[in-house]
Amino acid sequence: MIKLENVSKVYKGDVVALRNVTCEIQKGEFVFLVGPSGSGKSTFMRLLNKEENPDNGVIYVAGKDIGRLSGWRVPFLRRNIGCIFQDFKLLDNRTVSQNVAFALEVIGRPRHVISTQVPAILELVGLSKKADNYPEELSGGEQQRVSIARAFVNRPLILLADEPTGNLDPATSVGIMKLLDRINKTGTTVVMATHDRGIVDTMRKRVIELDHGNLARDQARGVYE
Amino acid sequence: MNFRIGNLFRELSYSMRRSPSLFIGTLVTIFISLLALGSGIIVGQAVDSATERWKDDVEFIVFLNPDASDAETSSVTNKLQSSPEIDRFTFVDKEAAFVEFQSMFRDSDQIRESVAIADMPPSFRIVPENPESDVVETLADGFRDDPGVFEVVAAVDTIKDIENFSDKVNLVFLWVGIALLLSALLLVYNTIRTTIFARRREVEVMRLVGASNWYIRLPFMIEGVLQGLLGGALTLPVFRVWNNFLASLGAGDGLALLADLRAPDRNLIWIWVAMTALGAIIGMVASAFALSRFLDV
Repeated sequence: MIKLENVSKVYKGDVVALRNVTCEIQKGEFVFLVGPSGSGKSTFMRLLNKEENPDNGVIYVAGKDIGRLSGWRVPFLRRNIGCIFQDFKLLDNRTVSQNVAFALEVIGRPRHVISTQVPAILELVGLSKKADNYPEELSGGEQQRVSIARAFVNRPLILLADEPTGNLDPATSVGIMKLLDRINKTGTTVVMATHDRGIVDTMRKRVIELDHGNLARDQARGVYE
Repeated sequence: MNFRIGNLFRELSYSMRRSPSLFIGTLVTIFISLLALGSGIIVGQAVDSATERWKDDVEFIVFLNPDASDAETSSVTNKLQSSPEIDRFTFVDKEAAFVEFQSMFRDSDQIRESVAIADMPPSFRIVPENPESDVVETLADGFRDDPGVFEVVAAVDTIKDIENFSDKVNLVFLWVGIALLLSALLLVYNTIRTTIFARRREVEVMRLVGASNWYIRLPFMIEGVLQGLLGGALTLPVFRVWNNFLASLGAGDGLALLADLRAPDRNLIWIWVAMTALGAIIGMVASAFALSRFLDV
């Protein structure tokens, strides 16, 4: 599903984000990306949905070399990749269901599809009762559920989660992880960057560790350290 | 490119509601700049239309009677050819005079329909060696009593003054218009930039979920074009008022020789269309420029 071959990325001022990283993630895998701040986790994620381009190496997503993708096709790549973030990135002036519907509207999904898929995904994330609330009326955990619903409503092949529990307390984090696990069980590949030792050690999924841009460890059913 | 018109308008009305003062300020600047440019063109056209007979340095005109004989016509021709004080002249026959008359009164069907080719006086348009007004006056007087001559009119100083005035006014309007257009361009650019900034979170989410580049760009683009279009469209009523004001100037005693100091209505519409199109182009250019700088998709 995802394949990196000798991928390097250097920012201005010779800041090395990734150095010669090679790895492969199969369809349906759940992978933790760990490492200290500045180790290249976020760059890894940003390269996958082509928010940035590598200086060297080749990246394949769903069998395609995304380096050869022309600009106008990038949106179609992104429709196959859901993203969630530490800060949720919800739109404050829209309700929960409008936030989720937004993701379908802007890619031109017909109204009848939106009106059936949005309630279904809110049911999945357990927020049916909050459909008409605004983000500021929700707890952090609920906001993250909305953001997961928005990322998953289009049924992407891949879900990228950049520290999704970073702003949440441990109990809430467990709920979010259960949700991501459920989504993974539907066959969606999940790549999650995290600093949360407890979560990684409990879930025992594949762990890829980055250190100063180098791939330091790639372990099946691994722990944080 | 798949999106719904309803969504587009929702996106579009967003910035107007968000910062109406900026939107209106930009609109008004575009309006005034196009007004200045258009007014310059109207003054120019009004003067051209009123002084059509006097172009190409023609200083005086000898009109013959509509029923002047060939002998009378050739006698005047010979007199003109033999005079060393005449630089050149052209003969305008009945048919040409009729065409010119129709064009001068193109906005007044009643006047146009009241004359036939046979009623038109043929004329000589004369360019003397020396354009000084007293010399011209003396020369013109020499034809007044010739057989077959109906009337002799000279390009009095008023006409020259009007032409000079029109040239100056045109120049002022042109430069004021261009300066204001530049500031309108910058204002649209800033409006779009502000809108992009105000909506950066939405744009970010749109990109992440895979909205196409055009879906993201189009509302911003249309906002700029719309400001230009509206600014241009509003100029028409003012153009009409302005043109009527010019016509009231032309009706004064001193300008009795002028046919009608106003731009033809048909041209007024074309000037308006051109100004509106120019407004739209400015809006498009400015927003495209702002998008390329501030919207990373």
